Amino acid sequence: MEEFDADRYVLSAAPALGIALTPHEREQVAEHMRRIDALAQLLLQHELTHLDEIAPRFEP
Amino acid sequence: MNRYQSALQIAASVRAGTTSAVAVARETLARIARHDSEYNAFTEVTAKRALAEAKNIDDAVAAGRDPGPLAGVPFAVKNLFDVRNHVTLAGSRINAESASAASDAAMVGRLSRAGGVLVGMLNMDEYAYGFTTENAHYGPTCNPHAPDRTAGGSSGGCGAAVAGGLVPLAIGSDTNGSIRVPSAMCGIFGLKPTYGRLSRSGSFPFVGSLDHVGPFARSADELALAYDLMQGVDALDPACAQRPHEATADKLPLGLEGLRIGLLGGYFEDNATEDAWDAVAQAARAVGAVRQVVLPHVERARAAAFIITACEGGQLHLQDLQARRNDFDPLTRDRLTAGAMVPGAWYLQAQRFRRWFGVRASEVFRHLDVLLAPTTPCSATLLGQETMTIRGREMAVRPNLGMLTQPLSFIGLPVVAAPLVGATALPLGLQIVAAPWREDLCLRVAAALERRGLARAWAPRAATSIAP
Repeated sequence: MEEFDADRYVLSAAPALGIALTPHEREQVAEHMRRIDALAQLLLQHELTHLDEIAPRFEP
Repeated sequence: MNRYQSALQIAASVRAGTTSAVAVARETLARIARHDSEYNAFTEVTAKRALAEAKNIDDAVAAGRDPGPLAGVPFAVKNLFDVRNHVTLAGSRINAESASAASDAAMVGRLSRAGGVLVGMLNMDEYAYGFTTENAHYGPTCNPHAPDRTAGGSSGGCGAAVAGGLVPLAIGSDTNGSIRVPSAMCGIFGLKPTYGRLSRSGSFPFVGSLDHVGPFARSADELALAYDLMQGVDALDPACAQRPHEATADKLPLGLEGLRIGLLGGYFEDNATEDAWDAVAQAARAVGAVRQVVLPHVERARAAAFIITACEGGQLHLQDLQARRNDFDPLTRDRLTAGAMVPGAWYLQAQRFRRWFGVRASEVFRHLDVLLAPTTPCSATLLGQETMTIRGREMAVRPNLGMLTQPLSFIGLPVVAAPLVGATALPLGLQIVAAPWREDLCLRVAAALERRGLARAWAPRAATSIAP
């Protein structure tokens, strides 16, 4: 599987959200995106096959 | 009035007429004026309101009316709570341009109606997105125990104001640890109740799925007093549970009797310094916690909380991220921007995992009543510090100070953060965790630790040498 490219992702997501970033901001946001991606990959590895939907309202 | 006089002592004196609420308010305002420059805890002081509220309390006492259980007790609130006729900053420059609040937030109103006297609003990370209260607009809040160190965050102003003896009570919010982290770093007590237990209406949101509000104090009994007064259903907060009032203060004398206590190991041990872990393990042994518990996939719970936070936080501020980027604190802006870009699939997986993890955690509470864990990986870091080393691993400070609190608030469990008495130079905190709606158990253990001399609010080192 192709590795997540945070720089490219931010470059395309920013205009889609109507956000104009300076080159420095783009670097900073990409750095945060890399951190979030690492956590997301950890989460996506977990199989939640027994759950088909989220609770309509979370209750502790 | 002693700088560290408790809320209970103040209320008793005012109710008995041995001191007046106006005198307490004047002393408190003078103390804030004299000492807050050391901490930068307050962003606004509500002197006029405080004196007016205090006079009403004194009038009630003089007329033989009940002035309320908090009669004349000064308190302050994180500046994301609405205070009538004042602008709700939420730590931001952008919100400073908003209109003044038309009414008090639910929690402010409840403490005021109980006789509390609001003296001001407290500093925080911008929009509550941080653990260090290093705010570019309003300056950093300093730790009363070490002025070059963070007070924790995002409710750092609450931590510093209570630890510094400026007020006996404060109200803050906790999305991922923002009550517990400053409590630990400032050496005081804090309560993050069960998700949905206390109304958030009139508070500026951060992450609707995870936001909680709760009190800070210098002892477990003051914390219980405030929490009991803050309870109550509120239709204005859709997450607020339809539960009856469940008093906790009268349960504190029950102590540890009959409680089965466990120590959260695994992830919680691996991500704490040896000092932090040893302090918690020692307290655990002292209260008879012989069993160590390892929750499954805690690192994923933390990851999911991080993603939900980023996504909901980013979405909430999207319009301003588009139009007013330069008005944000740079520390907040780029993280919120990344959060706004989180794919929906990641967010939904995080929410689904929340349910899964909550069910697994609830199984632990069939066999144990209370779990203990460190609050933060280490004691207060230096202001401006970028990285910290935990068991040989270097990691960024700002996103990771809450890595031990996040997995627990993620599933809405009630937690008291208690300041440990130990050999360390700076405060370290203990998380006391119970099943949903069992705040009483957390508070009982906190009070028992206090009675045994294992937990106690720290006094700032300078406090003995400066004027009260």
